[in-house]
Amino acid sequence: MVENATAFMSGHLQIQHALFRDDPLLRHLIQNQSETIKSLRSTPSVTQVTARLQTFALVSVEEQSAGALVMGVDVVNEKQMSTLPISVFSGRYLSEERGQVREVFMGKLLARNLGANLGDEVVVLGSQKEGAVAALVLTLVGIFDSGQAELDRSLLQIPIGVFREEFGLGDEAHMLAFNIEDIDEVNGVAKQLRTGLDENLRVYTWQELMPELQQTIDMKQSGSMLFFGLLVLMVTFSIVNTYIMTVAERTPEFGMLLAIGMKPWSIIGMLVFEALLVSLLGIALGVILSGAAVAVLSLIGIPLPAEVADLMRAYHLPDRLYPGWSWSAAFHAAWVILISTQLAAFLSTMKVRKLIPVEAMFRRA
Amino acid sequence: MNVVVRCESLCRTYQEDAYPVKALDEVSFQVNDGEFVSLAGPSGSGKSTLLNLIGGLDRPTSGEVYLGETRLNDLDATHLSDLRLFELGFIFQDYNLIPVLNALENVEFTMQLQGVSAKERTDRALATLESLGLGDLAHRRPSELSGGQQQRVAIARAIVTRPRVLLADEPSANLDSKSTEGLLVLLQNLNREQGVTIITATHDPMVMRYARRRVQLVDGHIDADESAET
Repeated sequence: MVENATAFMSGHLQIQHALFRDDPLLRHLIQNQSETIKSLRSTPSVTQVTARLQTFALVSVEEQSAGALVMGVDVVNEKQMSTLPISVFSGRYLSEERGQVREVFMGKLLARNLGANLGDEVVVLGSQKEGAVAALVLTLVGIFDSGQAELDRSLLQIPIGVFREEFGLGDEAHMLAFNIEDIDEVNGVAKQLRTGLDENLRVYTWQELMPELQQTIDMKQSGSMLFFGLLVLMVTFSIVNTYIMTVAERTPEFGMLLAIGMKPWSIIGMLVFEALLVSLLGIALGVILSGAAVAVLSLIGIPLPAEVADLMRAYHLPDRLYPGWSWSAAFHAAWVILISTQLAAFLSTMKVRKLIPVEAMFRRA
Repeated sequence: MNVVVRCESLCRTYQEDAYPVKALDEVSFQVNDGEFVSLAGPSGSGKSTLLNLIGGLDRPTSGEVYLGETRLNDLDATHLSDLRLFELGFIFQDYNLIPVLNALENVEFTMQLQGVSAKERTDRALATLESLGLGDLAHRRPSELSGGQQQRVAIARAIVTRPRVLLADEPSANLDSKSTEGLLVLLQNLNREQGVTIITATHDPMVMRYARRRVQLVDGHIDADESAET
């Protein structure tokens, strides 16, 4: 889920100008961005880096105009980092001939609002860093459908070279988005990068860039824990019930064992040991069966209801759930079940202590 | 003669359908070492109740039970289990063998509880089964044995631990007359040759004939206590 979400645009981490996030003005730039990129590329865990520039501008096609977010992208790196280039609704993504081709790739709703078709001339009118007018004439080569209406209504991408040229910028960028080998290490990498970083720059992890995603994950984990807790409770109660029945049904047997000299605690120990063996057998079978189920379902996926699947597709997330095997989850579940089973067996067999042998022997279950 | 069992003013009252039923009422008697006693009487006379109280399988409502110098009333469940394991042997009307164990394992089981080593308990169990004519059936499960054979396995289990007192509750109830005769000869030999004290609850006249002392119970009281020549 996190990989899918970060692959759409944000990347695992970003470096931005310290003020850019709260105040995304054109002048809040990373200076000497190529040096920062070089430094990032030399960091062992960093796998991909891309630079972006962005500003708000007026976009026109013939008589129609609309405000939009113009994003200058490094086409080659963007195609490696982001899934937006493959979200093509019609046409194609920007050409890889670095910065020289005056092309534009815009959102489906923006194109509809402007009445733009592939091949149309698109005029972008904005302000340069020093206040001069920046005017670009570009050819619409592709329309994307990200599934996010806000983005489809407001975003267009152009080659970063054209952006720099027309907006009077040099070796500068607004953000450097990058991926690392292990997404679980983002905080460590961020901490490492923050050491010695220019004081005007900030490193953001995906959790800081997309707090709503982290909240969703936290909520999902809380829900899973609650579900697991309820499951354990149900299992524990069913075991308690089973053992109460077992003790009731086997009371004459326990009476006989007491009569020939077995101690009550030995009988309790025997029952708890039986529970242990049954639990271990059950856990082994559970691990084998669930492993087989996960192996199959990880290939074919679990279909989601149609509405949910549509929503997932809109966010470029898989429309099926693909479970993955986790030794940690299996281990923890096994321990919790084992302990709760033993506890349930122990508590429900405690009544053996109170049995009077002669009453127990002739009791009918 | 040493007194091995002593009961003083023993009462046992059961609560049935809100009405108390007195199964034993102020019973006092004692059994000396090496006696073969039958507790006789009709159904409901209290003979099994008395046997259960002597064996620590039940608790008296009032009165006292002594096994040797040990007052059973003072013992908790664990100590009573120890007493039954090391001092007493039980023979039940329904044999009460463990169905999943074979004859040998059934006999070994009580010795296993005593902590006897594996080799010793196998040797002793086999010797006991052979002495009861069950050597060839040692590896059969209870379901593969006749009633008489199962009762002999139960006797083997009861005597293999060398108890001071053997308690038998209606031991002949499920046996035919020939098996009963064999069982009684066996008990008589145990009593005479090994000096095992035997107390049996019965309403079978044949069992009463083999016992050397007959205690007659009626409505929870001792009606007669007499020695008999066999």
